[in-house]
Amino acid sequence: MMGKAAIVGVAQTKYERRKKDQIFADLVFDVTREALADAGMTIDDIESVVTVSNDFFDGRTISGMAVGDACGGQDKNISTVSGDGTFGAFYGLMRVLSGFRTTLVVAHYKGSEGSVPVTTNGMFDPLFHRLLGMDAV
Amino acid sequence: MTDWLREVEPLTLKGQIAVPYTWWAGDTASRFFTALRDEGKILGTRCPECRKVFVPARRSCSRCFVEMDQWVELPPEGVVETFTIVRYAHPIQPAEPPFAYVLVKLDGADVSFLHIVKKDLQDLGVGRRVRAVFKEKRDGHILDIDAFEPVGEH
Repeated sequence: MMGKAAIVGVAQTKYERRKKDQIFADLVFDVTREALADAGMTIDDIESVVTVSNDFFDGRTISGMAVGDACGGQDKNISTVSGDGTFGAFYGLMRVLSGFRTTLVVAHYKGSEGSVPVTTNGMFDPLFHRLLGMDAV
Repeated sequence: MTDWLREVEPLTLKGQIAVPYTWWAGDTASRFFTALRDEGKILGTRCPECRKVFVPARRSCSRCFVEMDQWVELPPEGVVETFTIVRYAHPIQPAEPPFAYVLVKLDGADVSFLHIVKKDLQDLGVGRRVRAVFKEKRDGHILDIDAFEPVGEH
């Protein structure tokens, strides 16, 4: 087992309203290629892939699986899980420390397509708190 | 954005997920909500180890990891620990803005209780005494308390 890992490339989608011309798989596709370019790597240099997302925001279950092709995960050891970008980064770190030479981590979210108040209201306890209308806007 | 999309209304698909749930309140919350509905009382539970009183009533103490089976009736009054005023409207909200979310430390409780304040917002502040106002017709849920309202002098 290796004792060290490093982030060798990063990219982030520009945050802007709506993005009418891109579905979230498009966002993932573009940002994955940007991150690879930043690292000076190609998708062939990637041994394992982690995707993290939130089903409630995407409006579909197993939402992380839906971007597997867009992030180049085909025929790679891919783990698609619920979580945020920070969780994905640490999960990717653990994967590298446990033997994968390279891990690509992608986190996606396109909140403009759903309702952030309704979705984040779902964080709250349905019995004691949700009817109070709390959200995380 | 792709140029040709600027000239047209981009295609969208409208959808909605509405999943029905039936959340069983369970033994502890059932007692809390039936007391709220039938007697207009707010019940908490006391931890047998750390003696802290939790409200709404819950079964296990988060600190001691033991069962809390001692029931405590709390007065409908307490002190505002923190609050925030909501100034935007959304259908999920239980009141017309402006209204406030408040965390109230009910007298005798050791944790704060989340609810709303709908009027006299100008009188709201940390440390302010507030009192629960119960609805006349109650259904056995958290909005059987209509809201809290400031009481007494500043």
